[in-house]
Amino acid sequence: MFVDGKIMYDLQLALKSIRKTPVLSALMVAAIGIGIGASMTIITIFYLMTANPNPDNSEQLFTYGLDNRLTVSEGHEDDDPPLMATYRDALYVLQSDIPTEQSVHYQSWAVYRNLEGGVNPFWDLFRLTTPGFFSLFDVPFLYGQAWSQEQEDNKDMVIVLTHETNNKLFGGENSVGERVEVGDDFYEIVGVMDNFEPLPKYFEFDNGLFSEIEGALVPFSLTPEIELMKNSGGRNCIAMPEGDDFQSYLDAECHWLHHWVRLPTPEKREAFHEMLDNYSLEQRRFGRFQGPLNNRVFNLMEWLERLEIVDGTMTMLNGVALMFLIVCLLNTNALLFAKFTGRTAEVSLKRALGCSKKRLFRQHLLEIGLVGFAGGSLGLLLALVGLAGIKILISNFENLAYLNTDLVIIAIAASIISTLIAGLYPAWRSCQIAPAKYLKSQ
Amino acid sequence: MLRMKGVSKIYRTDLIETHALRDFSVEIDDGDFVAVTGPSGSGKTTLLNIAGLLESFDDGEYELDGVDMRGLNDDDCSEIRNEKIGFIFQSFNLMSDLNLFENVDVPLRYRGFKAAERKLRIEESLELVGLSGRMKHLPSQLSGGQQQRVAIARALAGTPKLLLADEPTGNLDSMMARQVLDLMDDINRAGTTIVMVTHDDELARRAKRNVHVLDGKVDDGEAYQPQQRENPVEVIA
Repeated sequence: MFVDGKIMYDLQLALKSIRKTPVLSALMVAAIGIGIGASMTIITIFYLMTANPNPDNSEQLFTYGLDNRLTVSEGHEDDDPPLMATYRDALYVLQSDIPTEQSVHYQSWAVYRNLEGGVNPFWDLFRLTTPGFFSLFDVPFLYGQAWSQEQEDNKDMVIVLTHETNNKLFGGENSVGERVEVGDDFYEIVGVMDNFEPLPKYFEFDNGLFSEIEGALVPFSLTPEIELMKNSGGRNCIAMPEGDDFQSYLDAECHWLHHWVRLPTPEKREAFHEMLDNYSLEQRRFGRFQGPLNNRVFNLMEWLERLEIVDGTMTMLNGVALMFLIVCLLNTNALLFAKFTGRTAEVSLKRALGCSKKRLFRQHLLEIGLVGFAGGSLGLLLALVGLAGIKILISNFENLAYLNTDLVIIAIAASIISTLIAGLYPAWRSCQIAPAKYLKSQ
Repeated sequence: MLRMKGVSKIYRTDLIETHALRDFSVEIDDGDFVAVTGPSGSGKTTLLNIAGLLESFDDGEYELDGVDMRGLNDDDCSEIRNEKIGFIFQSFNLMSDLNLFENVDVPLRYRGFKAAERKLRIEESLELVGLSGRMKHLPSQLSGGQQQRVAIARALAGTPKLLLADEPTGNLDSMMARQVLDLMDDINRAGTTIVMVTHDDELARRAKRNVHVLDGKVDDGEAYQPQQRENPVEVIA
């Protein structure tokens, strides 16, 4: 309590001191606020881009790359294999019982229609996937549930809507059991997803890692039946399809499917990798996989690293933001020098009245910390404005530009710490004043 | 109470060395009221600063209340200043943004007294200087004499053994100066040792003893001479 009382008193003096020089204090808060606001805007984007989007499962979620190149030029033997799977290879891996869950998926476009009428048909994305998608990526449900493996195997015409699509088509009511027309087909609704916006959308990169989830999801097994090609994202072929029909599209040596598996143990990962290698060796007999054995298995964070979400521009922007913050802190440093220099008589008096250098230094640091806190708060407001601006300028960042609790804490802490660093020397210098020096001249 | 023997203080710059005190010796007893006089630049204020541990000294011995003051660190000096010494300055040196109560409270806060004791001490000392009714006033709302009385209250609140006053009436008119001196007399009679630097002969006459400083030296051959109180200036330079 005694120590608390001392700190409370020093805090009161710090507040009085800040009020005593309102212009100087406001300039310092503004300098720090602008520095923190600008840097936090950039850092927020960076932080959200590089955050682990599924920390609970990221060590168990894997995707793979099968190197099915037909020719390999010298020096490129160890290049990363394609980061997507061919239809044929995905179907093979789907048969494996090494993973405990699997999700193969791709994105397409279709027109959505409410059979009851009353809602204008609209274009939207939708995704074809295996039911493992929902459990692998922890998809929450508002109504109903995912379709079963049995329904997947039976190629049942079932569908899961996002809650936005459900809002559009059914006014947000529980639509499980209702029917909806998507593309040229009719589906029975088995579930409505709750809000699901992983950032980044790590399980695919077809429409951008920071895009919204598609309007609905249907069984992957329906692909050959409904003959919907992948309509967005990449499809990279190492050989042209042999025909124009949909089966040729599926059989072509083209990489276009995202395939994720759950491998709960390192042994499973090893076994899965071995299975891929054996498959490659076996496929060589059919004229495929002519390059070296170069298959890869990536866990979630390894995969995101491969995608190079944080490019050179982003790194440069981070550097610029940091430099800007440093410039603002140098200004703060100069302002603190001015403030403490104008306070020599008060410092001398306090020292004469029995205040030790240590206590005085602590008083100064408390005052600097308060300025840092105020600057951080202003910086947060400016960061919100900055993020709003980025949302307007770059549509892809719409889901990315927000501040979460972690970032608020980081901003305030960074502001206080950096202001303290900027103020350490002026505060120390101020405490070195000989107590007798300015008492006579005041 | 205070004993200095052979104390020296030199201020050095790149070009010049100034001997502020040279081989300075003095003894001041408990309960004494000493006026330190001398021309400008003679070393009076340096003497007061060293006595109040506001400045270090280069050579010699200094004992305060039986404690050797050589080689003390900053924390020790701050503690001794806070507990044993009260200061009164010519320009009052009150904090303009603190009211009277808060100004007197400052040294008590550093001393670490509990709230109830601080309140009691502040009220008593402001009562003593006749300003207990103005505790919430800011210094700027008071006359010069009143401000100096607040400074005296602040100096006394910690019940120091030694009161150091540097030209305490230098900024006051004669009537206010007299009031302040009367107050200092009362304080001295109550047992507090006072060392006061002054240019003013009339003020010096009110002290029990004078020490005249010249060129950083003193020759204080006189013992306590109460009979000279109204006819002072038994000064040895």
